[in-house]
Amino acid sequence: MSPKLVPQFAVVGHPNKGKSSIVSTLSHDDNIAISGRSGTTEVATHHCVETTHGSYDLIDTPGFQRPLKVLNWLQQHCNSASDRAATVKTFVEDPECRQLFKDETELLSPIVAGAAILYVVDGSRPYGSEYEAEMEILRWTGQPSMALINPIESSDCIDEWQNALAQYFKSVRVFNPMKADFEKQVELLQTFSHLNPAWKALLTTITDDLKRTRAQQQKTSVVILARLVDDLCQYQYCQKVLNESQAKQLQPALATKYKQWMKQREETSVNELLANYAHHQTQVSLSGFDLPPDLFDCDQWFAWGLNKKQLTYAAAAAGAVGGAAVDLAVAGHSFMLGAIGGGLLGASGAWFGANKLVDMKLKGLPVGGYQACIGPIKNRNFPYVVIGRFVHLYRQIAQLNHANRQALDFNATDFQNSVENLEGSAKKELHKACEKLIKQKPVDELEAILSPLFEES
Amino acid sequence: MESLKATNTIELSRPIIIGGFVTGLILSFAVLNGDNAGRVNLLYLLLIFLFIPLVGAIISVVSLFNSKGVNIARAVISLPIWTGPQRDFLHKIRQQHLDKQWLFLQSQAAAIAYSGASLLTFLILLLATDINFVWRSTLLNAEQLYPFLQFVSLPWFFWESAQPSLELLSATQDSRLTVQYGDTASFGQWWTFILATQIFYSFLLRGILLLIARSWIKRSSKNDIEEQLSIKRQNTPATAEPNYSLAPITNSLPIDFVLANWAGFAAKQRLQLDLTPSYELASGPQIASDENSEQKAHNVPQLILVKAWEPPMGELEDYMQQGQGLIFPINTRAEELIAPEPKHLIEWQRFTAQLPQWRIYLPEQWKQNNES
Repeated sequence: MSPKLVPQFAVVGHPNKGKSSIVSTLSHDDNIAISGRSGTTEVATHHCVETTHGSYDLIDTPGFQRPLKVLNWLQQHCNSASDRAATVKTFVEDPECRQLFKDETELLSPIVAGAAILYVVDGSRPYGSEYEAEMEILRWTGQPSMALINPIESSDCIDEWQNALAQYFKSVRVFNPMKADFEKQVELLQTFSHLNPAWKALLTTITDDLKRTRAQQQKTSVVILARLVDDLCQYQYCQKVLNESQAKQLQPALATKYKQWMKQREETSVNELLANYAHHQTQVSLSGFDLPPDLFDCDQWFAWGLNKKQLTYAAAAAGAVGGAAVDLAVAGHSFMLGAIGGGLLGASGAWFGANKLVDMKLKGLPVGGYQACIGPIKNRNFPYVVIGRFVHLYRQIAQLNHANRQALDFNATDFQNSVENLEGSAKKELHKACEKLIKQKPVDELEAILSPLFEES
Repeated sequence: MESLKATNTIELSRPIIIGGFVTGLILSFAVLNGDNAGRVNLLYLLLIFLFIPLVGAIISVVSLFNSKGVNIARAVISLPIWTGPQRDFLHKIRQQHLDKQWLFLQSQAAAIAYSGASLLTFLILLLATDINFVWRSTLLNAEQLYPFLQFVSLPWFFWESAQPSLELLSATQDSRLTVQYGDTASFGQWWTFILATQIFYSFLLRGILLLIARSWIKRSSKNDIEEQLSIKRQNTPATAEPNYSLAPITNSLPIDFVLANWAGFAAKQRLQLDLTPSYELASGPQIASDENSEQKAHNVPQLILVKAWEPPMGELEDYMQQGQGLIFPINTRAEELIAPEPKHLIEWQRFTAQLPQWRIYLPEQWKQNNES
């Protein structure tokens, strides 16, 4: 696509008024540096927002530093109103100006090159006459422009700003990059098409693409939950021990490891959820699960780590295969007695001889023994708790703007309502699925069953 | 249950390969061993080396794409014979919807092992014993069977010695009532045809299917959500805010100082501050454009009033470079002048730290607001 056809928007304004925050939120990129320190952005940086069928450029710029001096320079070098845009261009290209007014030449360069202007102010603080110089400079460029009032701390001074900005900009919008939900972001993007009608079709395509991406992110979130709940309901931690009393002694250590794994698994899924919504800088802390007390079990194990039932099945299968090979070798003359006999022999041998394996050793290594196990959780409520917690987190993360870098902190009480609401609205399929999950049975279509929980209310 | 890497999912299962190899060995030996006279029925060989591998390949491909009916992969996975790590692995591939593909890949490996064992057995027996290839049929004659064998040998059309011929077919037709054989050399000539059948319908066909399955699984594993999200996370490490030095805060004013009202606070508001400067410069940032004449005229420390919430700008810095004194950041609430918020004060401290001849001023009563 020709660069001229790609819509370009230079986000300009006073330092520390949320320019980078707006770029970060609209481009869904939390790697853009945002800081309370002014002057974080030192050069004009192009952030290309690419979608399946199009792209547009958001240009993060340094804030104005010497607007009065720049306006003086422009006024001294311009004799006619018709030369104002050309004078700004001369200013941007002048080597001396580039040295003396580094920030202004940086921020004006993309505008001179054809980018539309998004002028950002803080709607929580009163308007001041010191802003007039920079608005005047922007007017001199002659480029299409829009003012965005960012209510950083409050909406106290929005009216005051609207009155002032209306004198310089045809379009004035209120946009909070920290709180604007996805619909508001899309709405703002659509209003950008008013700046240049030639961009309208492309911006419509881009907003459609963004909506599709949003839907895909929701589907991915469902998959993450499906795998999480499946893993957590299935998980069992076992360790081989010499006898039952040793198993009892190990119980607290096993429980700790089990809890650690469960916590880590949930954290992994939360990180996946964050990555799904391109939140790479957000830290999340959440309280662990309250696990039921009856998770401990001690069982015997035999060759290859199988339990008695597994060993019997395996021996039966091996015996049957061996017998079948004999049947084949004699071209079926044995009337499949080889397979049947082999299976029976294997199964009975394993069933009756298994207990002897516990005390046997092969080359000094035990062939059988005991194992202490923790889990899996069989409590009926457990899948609902996992789902409820995740859905609650999902709702926070899906609505989290990329300009917002605050750590998310969740505790057990945050999830309580979510779990209760979930139980009320859960469908029959969800109940069936949870029943299967606690029995460690695979659930077909788990993703489809969980999907309605993610739909926006 | 760790997330699976592509290399884990395409690993071939040794027990499955051994199973296929042993089956191939036993079956081939049983069939190729023949009777006491070393006679082996060519049609039996076609059953073992053509029909079974071909039908097996078709079944495995159909079951891979057929979403209805019994899911063999699921049935195999649900067998209670797997150890803990194996169960975890199978659980994971089921989650990734790769269980069918994985079983398909393993079945191709088993089939290759089967055909490898068959080939090995065949070659050993060819070397170590005399195999006499004959064929018997009550219903078919050589003319009827020949077109079928011609069709079967199409894939190796370029291999002349492995092509069937009507003469050889007629010469090797056998009857159990026949006891006298003419040219016994012709009974061994079918070996190239059988070898080609094994290579093309079993070894190569399954080899191709294995390669396809391998690359399919590899691609699916790489495109899996977990893998993709993990790559995203690794490629974007968290960034940390750099540390900056901060200018000290003083709570006392010099006896003699000049006031610069950079913020442009109204005279009525300034009364709240209870300041007694020796002189007041013009108000607002415009004082910077006055060539600093006033500033130079007063060679005493300045106290610059600034709006705490507005970040320091270059124009102020230029102005401050030429003087010395104190910066007084002030917040407002309606018409009242109040202490700056800590986050704003830190920004002014950072800015002032770059100008050694300047310090931050806060009245004693505002100090507590910023001690946290």
